[in-house]
Amino acid sequence: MFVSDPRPPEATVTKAALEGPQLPVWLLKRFWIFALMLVLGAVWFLVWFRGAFDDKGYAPLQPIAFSHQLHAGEMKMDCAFCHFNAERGKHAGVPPMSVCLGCHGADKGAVQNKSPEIIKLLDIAEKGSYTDADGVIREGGMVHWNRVHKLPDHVYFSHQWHVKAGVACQTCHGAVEEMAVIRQHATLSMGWCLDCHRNSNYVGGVTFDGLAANFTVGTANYDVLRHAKRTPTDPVVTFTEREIAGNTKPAADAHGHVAAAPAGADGDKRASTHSAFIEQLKTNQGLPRWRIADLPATHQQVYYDLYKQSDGKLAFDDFSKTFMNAPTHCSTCHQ
Amino acid sequence: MTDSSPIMPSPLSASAPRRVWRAPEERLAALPADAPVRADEFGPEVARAIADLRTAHGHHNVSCQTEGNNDEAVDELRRELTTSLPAVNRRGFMQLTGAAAVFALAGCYKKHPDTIVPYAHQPEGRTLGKAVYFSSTLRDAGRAIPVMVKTYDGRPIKIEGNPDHPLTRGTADVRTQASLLNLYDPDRLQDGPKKKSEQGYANVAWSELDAAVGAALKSGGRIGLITGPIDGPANVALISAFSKAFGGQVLHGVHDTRADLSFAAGRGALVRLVDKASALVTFGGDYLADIGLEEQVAFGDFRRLRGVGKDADLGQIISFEAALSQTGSAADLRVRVAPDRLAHAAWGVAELVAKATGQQIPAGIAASLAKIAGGKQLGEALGLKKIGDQDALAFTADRLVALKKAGKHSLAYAAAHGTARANAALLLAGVHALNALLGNEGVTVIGAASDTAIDANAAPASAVLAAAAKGELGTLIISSVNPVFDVPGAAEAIAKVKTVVVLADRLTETARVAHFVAPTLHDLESWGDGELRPGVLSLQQPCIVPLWDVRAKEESLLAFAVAAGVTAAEFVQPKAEPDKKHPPIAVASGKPLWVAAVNGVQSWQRFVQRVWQMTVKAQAKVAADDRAFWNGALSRGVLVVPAKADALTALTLAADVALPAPVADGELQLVISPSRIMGDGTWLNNAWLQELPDPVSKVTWDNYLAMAFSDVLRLGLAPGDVVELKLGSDAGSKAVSLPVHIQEGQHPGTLQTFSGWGRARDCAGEIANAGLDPNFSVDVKPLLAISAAGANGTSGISGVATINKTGANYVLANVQGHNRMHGRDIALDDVLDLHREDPGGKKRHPHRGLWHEGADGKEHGRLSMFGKTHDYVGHKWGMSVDLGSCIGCNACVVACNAENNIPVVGRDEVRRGREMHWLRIDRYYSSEQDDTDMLDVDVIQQPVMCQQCDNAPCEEACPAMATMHNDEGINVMVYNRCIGTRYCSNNCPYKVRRFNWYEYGKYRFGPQGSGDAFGRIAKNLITSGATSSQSELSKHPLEMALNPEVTVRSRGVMEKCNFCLQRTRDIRDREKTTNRAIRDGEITTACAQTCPTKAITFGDLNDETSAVNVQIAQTHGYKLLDSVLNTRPAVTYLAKIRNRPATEAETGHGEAPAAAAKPEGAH
Repeated sequence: MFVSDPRPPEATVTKAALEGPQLPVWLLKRFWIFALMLVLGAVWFLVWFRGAFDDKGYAPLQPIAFSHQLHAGEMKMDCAFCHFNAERGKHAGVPPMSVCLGCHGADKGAVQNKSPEIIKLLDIAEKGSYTDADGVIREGGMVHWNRVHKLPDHVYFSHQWHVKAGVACQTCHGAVEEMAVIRQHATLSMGWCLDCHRNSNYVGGVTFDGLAANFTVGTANYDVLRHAKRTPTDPVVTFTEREIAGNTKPAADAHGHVAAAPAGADGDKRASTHSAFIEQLKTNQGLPRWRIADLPATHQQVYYDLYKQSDGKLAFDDFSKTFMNAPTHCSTCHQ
Repeated sequence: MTDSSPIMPSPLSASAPRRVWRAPEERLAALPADAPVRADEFGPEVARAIADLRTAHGHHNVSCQTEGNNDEAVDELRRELTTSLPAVNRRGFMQLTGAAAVFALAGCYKKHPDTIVPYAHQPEGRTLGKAVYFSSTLRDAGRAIPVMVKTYDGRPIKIEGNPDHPLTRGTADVRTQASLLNLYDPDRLQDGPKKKSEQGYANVAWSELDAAVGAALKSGGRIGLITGPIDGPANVALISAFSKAFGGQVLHGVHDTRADLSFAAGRGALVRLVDKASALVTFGGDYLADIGLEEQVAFGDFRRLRGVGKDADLGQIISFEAALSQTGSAADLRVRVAPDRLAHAAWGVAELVAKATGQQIPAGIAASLAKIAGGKQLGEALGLKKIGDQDALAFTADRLVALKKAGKHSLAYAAAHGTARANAALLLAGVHALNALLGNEGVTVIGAASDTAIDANAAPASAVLAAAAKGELGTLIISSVNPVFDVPGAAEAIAKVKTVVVLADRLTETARVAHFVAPTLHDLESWGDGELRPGVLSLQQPCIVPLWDVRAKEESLLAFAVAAGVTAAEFVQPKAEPDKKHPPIAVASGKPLWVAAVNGVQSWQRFVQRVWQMTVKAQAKVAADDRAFWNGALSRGVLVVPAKADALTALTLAADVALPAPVADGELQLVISPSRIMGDGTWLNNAWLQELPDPVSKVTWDNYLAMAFSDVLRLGLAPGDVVELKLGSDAGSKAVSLPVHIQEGQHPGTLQTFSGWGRARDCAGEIANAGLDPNFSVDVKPLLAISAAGANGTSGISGVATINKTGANYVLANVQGHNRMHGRDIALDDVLDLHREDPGGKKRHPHRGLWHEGADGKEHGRLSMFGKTHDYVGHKWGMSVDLGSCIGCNACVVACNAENNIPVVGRDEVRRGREMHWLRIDRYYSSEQDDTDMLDVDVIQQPVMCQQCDNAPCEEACPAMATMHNDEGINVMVYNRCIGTRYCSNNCPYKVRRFNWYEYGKYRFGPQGSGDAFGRIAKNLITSGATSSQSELSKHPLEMALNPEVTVRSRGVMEKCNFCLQRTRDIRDREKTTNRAIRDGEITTACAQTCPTKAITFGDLNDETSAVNVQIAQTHGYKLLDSVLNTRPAVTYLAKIRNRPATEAETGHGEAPAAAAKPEGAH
């Protein structure tokens, strides 16, 4: 039986087939092109890699187009007016709906306008649930905000101690008062934390938009306590006192007063008292964090009424502190 | 929403009656007329595919609004794709879908999109990120345990003891700690009441249920009411009012699953005060497992070493028992007795005591004892070991009499389980006689005042069941107990009742024979009160809004009565208008809740409040006004009112009663005890409890049959062999199958197994079902049925048993594979006499326990591989663990689980040694006898957590600096640095580091097994990220139990104890806030906080006066393995001091090294 040779005839094996495909000679001669491409690729990769794991600049659309530019910028409301939790606990928190409705409530009349966003807000509060842009039904009568800043689970971070140390909100959150849509200003990475914490005693090292952040450390705090072997000698310096002493945060000082017109029109008897009251408030240096001018006229009226009730004896500070220390008192009037 | 509306089929539609702000169709309608029509044939498909992909990626419920997928961008994308692919076939469609999905996901460049939901009205005084504590009361098998509940954002995350309670003093026991998981149990009933129908159970409205039950109650016939033990003024008032409202038609029975543990023997309610005793003698039972929390606390006082040097003293425990119990493992002297001979032993001691003190025991008993002794010493006749040269019974009697003569007291204890059923009454009588002879009655055993505690009219549940069996009952209401599981034959009796209503939180065995099931609240959702001991009241308040559409069992009773036409003032209140704007809804399911006031029914909250303001306030003689009194009582949670102690009912025993002859040696005797972890089995669906090792055998997840080594050899068995167990020898008797576990210390001829396991399928839930699959952890109750005749208990039995090998083999998930120390200084002990002369054994073992710096080659001197030292400027955290007080109860382990979000890994993973408990309790045996039999063993329980070494071997090994030392002495673990090399774990001599092999947090009972495949895949998921949506929560409510202060660890990461870093961290906040150094004891770890016997102390070592430094300064403290490794742990162990005569080996060789002095591991 004849068996054919399985090997292919030698004639079919060409030199090209043996050597395989080859790059054009002109390209091979310019090997630096490869090197350049490699370097460019590496640089691109590094740049991408550096930014790939932080959320800097993240600015999601919110269910309600709340503008910090309007509230913190134009209206000059203090951050802590809404984010009062930042001074007391780990989380700054999103203000409860009652704080929004304190000004914008349907029966308030003060700052209610026909803006479609405020109508949305009132609708949500009124009707209990809404459908968000993804078609998900959001329950509970609360706005489900899209979270912007999020630290990893393993990070222990307390707003309270940073605020107390005098770190301006803007140091980490950027020029919030200029943001129509809130966005993440910093990387919130560990290296970014250390940028501050490595600086000598946290003082003067960080700048924000050209403003030196004025960290005031050295108040009776944990470190002092520990190094004094649990016998604190430093007096307690509270946040308010420190500010009175002149260490006011840049954010609080950056804006001038725009006093709302006093309510006492038509020259009634109240007018003179009222404007004196407003004047007193405006000149009151001890006023800690926010001013009467920042408030809607109705609130000024409330203060004025309380002031009158006390026969002018109680300083605005006390009213202010009452309000400051329990912003949920809003709900006592604004149910 | 009213009651008459149909039950909503799904949580989402529950919100349908409320208007949606802007429904999708509204949005479409709002489009301007000239808006371009979307020519997009793939619109819905693409959207669906995107939705599917998001679901697959866990993003289905997060808003991801970026430029990548807003309307314009998606439209743009669609336009592009439509133009590029004008004619799309199926393949094109797939490409299109894929592309759209990729774009959609790429659009979410936020790594973890999330939502924030603010409060509507933030409650005053509430700060985001700070916990709020509520005092409340929980019940375990009917016992009221006062607790403090830590809540975050309105959800309980940790249960702690109430520090204001005089008896429990801020501690909590194992099941109380674990009951948090019961609250969030997804297997609870969620959809409102149910009615039995042809096809099983149909949902009905609350009004329908009330009307039906009301009609049944009205229709005449006696009304049976079975409840758990009733205590607490409001509870008692409710039951009395209910009985009164139906004019004596009500037959109330108390179903007490702990009846067998009460040792009362018909003497009314008893209170034991072990802290007033100097010695505890137990005959069978398991004192430490049987007692409640308050008695464990007292036991801690009893057992703690007092005084130094020659004055050192502590309570002595002598334990007569057949199977090694938790008590036996703590005992100074443990004497093995066959189960049926316990009564003889008790009476034997009583006789000797009577002789020594000139008293008498009944003549019949004395005669039968003499007959059994047959001229020999009774102990010898019963086959008891000798203590020194003395008979064990004589030794015990001598000791007790000596105490009596010294004016001290003792306590004798027995329980009906653990002995032969026939002898149980005689055993209890013997123990009572012994207490009487020793003058303990009125001192360590006192009668409970009957007027405050229990409803005086209550009969045992067996009376109600008997009436039911005779057909005397028209209606039977069973409230939150499970007699069908507990009592053999209960189902048949209940079946004879026309209308059966069961109030239960799930479809229990009892609920499955009911006509109506009214789902009940968990204790943390409900109001109430309790009375742990006469006069010590505690109040119960809800710490969370009900999770599901259920209502309080008490409110159900009130509603039933109102529906039956009762108009008494206790039951009705004026009808209120429903709040249409803010109707109360369930937290997880979002369903409308039943509101008592709307239905004209007295709310249970108001009922409790009125009883407290009217009755309790008067008892307490408080001058405050009602509101102040109520608020004060609520915030403290505890109130002590005067209560008179009753005299004990006299013990009566006929003169001619005789003890039966003992069963011959060589017969197998079965003992059935309540499970030391599970108790009566109500909480079998609790994964934390399932994964807890038994305090003695260290077996998790399963029931087993404990046997002595010699019996296993004799019968040709091997560990893990599944045997068929029968009680009695007749062929017709029922059998159960159990895997064999060799138990050291078990008396040969004794078999032990545990009740509380083996709930019927789907009656407890998924976790309990997981134990059913291999069909081994079966219910041993069928055995009870055989000999239940005349028995009034629900557990505990003994009798001659037979076992047969089935051929099957089953690997028990045991967390401790090695039980001996082999002469190493791991868990140290000493004998009291020797400790008095040579405190801490410093003369005898000068180099034990602590590192002895020296030079190479010198005796006991070693060169350390560690050079550096740490400088702790501020705090330096440390801990002491008293091995003498530790009873191995596992409360610390569950507390640690709850505090630190420790996952459950499941049976299969435990078998692989992958349990995640950061804190474990090692149990070691040592024996001076024949090494293989290990019959008379000394036991030490040793809690081991991370020792926070100054010279930490793990820190040296980590290549990623993921484990490092902080400046407060804590060896911290940086999870996000960990790359999973596990070098640290290899290098750790204490084996306290746990590696997360799977993302265990995702699974309810382990990723590998412990259940059927469906349960594994579909029902395991509990943590898929933060969510606030009710429809999400209703799918995995267990997420809510997580502690937000602690990271949920991921797969591939090493984790371990960090002394509750989040709590020590809390110090910083408090010191900063208050500007003062924190006081000692203000911050403590979860384990130290909960320990019932206060064996664990935590504090600042830099504070010279701290409690932990006081503990450490004691002479018998030592550091684990420090003497050989120089690890310098921050944990100090206090050696267990045994209050027994020293053996020859212990006294004989003063200079001998430790290994020779205690030949505990001779091979």
